[in-house]
Amino acid sequence: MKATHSKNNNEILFRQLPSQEQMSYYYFAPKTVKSVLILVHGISRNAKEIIKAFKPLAEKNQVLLIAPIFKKGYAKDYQRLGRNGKGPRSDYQLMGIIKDCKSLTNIQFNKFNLFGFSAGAQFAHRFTFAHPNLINKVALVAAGWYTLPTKHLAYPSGLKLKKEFNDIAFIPKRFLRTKYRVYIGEKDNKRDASLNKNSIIDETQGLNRLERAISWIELMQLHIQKHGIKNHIELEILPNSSHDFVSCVNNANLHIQAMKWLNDE
Amino acid sequence: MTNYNTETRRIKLIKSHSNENVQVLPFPFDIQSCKRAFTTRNIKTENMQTLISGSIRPKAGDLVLCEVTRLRQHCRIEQPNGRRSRMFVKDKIIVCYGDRYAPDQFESVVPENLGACHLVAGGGIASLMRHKSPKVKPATEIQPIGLIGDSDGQILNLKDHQTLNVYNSDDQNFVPVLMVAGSSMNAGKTTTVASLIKGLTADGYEVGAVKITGTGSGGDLWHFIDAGAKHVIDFTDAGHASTYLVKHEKLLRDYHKMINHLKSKNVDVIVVEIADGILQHETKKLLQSTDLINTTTAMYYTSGDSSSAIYGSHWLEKTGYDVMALSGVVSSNPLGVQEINQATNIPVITKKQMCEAGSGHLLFETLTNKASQLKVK
Repeated sequence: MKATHSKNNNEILFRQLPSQEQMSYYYFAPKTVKSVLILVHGISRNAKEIIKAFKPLAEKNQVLLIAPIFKKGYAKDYQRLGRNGKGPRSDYQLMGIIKDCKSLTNIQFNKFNLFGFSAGAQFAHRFTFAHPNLINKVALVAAGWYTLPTKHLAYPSGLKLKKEFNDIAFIPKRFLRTKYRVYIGEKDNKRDASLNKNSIIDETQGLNRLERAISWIELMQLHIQKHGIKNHIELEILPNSSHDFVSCVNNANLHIQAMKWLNDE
Repeated sequence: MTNYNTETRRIKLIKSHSNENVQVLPFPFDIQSCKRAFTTRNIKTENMQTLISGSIRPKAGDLVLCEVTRLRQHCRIEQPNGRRSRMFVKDKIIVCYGDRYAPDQFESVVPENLGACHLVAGGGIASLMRHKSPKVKPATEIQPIGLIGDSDGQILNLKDHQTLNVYNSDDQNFVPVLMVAGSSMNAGKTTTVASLIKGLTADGYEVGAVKITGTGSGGDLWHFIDAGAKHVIDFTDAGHASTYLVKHEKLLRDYHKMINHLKSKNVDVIVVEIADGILQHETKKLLQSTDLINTTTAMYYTSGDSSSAIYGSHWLEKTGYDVMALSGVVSSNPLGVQEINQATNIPVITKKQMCEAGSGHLLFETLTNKASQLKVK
């Protein structure tokens, strides 16, 4: 995108959507904006924590930051995009937030980068599968489990859709071209309380987040090759880091690494 | 049709988010990137602020955002400015729910939920196809994404966006009303109305034209405008996406509203088109109502062949109308005209005769005379 000037007051701001009281977000708009990064929180709704970590880098790299808040109790199924009968559509929530932020900051853009931590990484890759046309690059950090790029498994384990969505079609030829990078803490190999321990996921993806990240990348890579697409998904192991955003930032400079990769041409 | 509690629907859905099966989200797309249909023209895009989805039963006239999933009969969507925009699979279109009755195309009804349905009219009607004519392909398939609401999460419905003047014409000057009815769809009603308008405007008369029933589409209105009508309206201006399955009393009320609206524009003549054939349920009931009989100065009846011309004109005369002329497709068939002339004294008028110089004066004078005769009676 072209560099755009915004009304800047150098602060992270909170915004409540006027048309939907359940939806809000934090944003930071530097003086000049060259790219846009959406930061998606985990199940603990740590949106503020994430945007605070990225703010100094965003200022330096001229990145508009938007951190949506998928409200607890409302956006119940946000990691899985809000399937029919399970909760409101979280992809549309994000698109509504982006639309609101565009008019608020007067910054126009079509594509953006996506960063997701834990449940946010689940959301981020599923959003990218559904709307690859909106995404430049996706940084996935410590997703609990993944949607595999196969139509043999029903959504959200795989791509086979029944009545989950009215209007989503997963098209591998499109979403396999997107640039993904997966980050995972070196110590994120525990079967902790928040990990989905479904036996099918254990069997198809692995027993912990580290194993699951590796097997997802392998399968994605296999399908990338099968479709003859030139793409490569990289895995970054974060040293001394557990399943905790602060630990990943303090021990492995996750925010610096991610920002650098996302902004590399 | 199922009676649906309007008040229940009109509650501010955002406030009632405890109903987990109905979700109200901000409208997620750039409205300009969605193709908006002609039927939705009376609702401003600024009002389209939310998307309402989940377990909700749509109602005729509700605005709905849909994705095109398979192109079949209709490959273009008519926009508010009349341009027929080509559609592509995955296009987002803004249309409204409605029932449709079109013997040459589809019979369809508003579905019970936001499941996949059809685009049954290029003017922008989302509906569930029940029957189709063998002359056409199956209807284009669309997938509703959600109903469109205002900033308060209230569903936008055409009925809340009528454009007609509130006006009581009882004490106003008399304006002759010329009604055009037909034997069926494609009998030549619209061409006849346009030719009458052309003849009248060419002779200096200001004409108001109205299509009182049918399915929302701009084609006929543009035709009337092109012929020179000063004011043109239709049932969508009275808040209907289509008039199929609309209650008779409501249609009658809206007929008066539309006529009064045109009277308020100080036109010299009002030409009325009533859609479909005289045997179609809503059309038949309207034509049989004393309100229509009493407000109609004269009738033109159009048909595709001689036998339906004779049956139809007799039926209309028996019902109480003064059938002034026969026209339509049959008027271009010399043998058909000959058969009609042998069976009735009602003249058969061609499109060309209606547009001829002086035909407007003659028509206006005849209408005025008929009106004074009616007053004497």
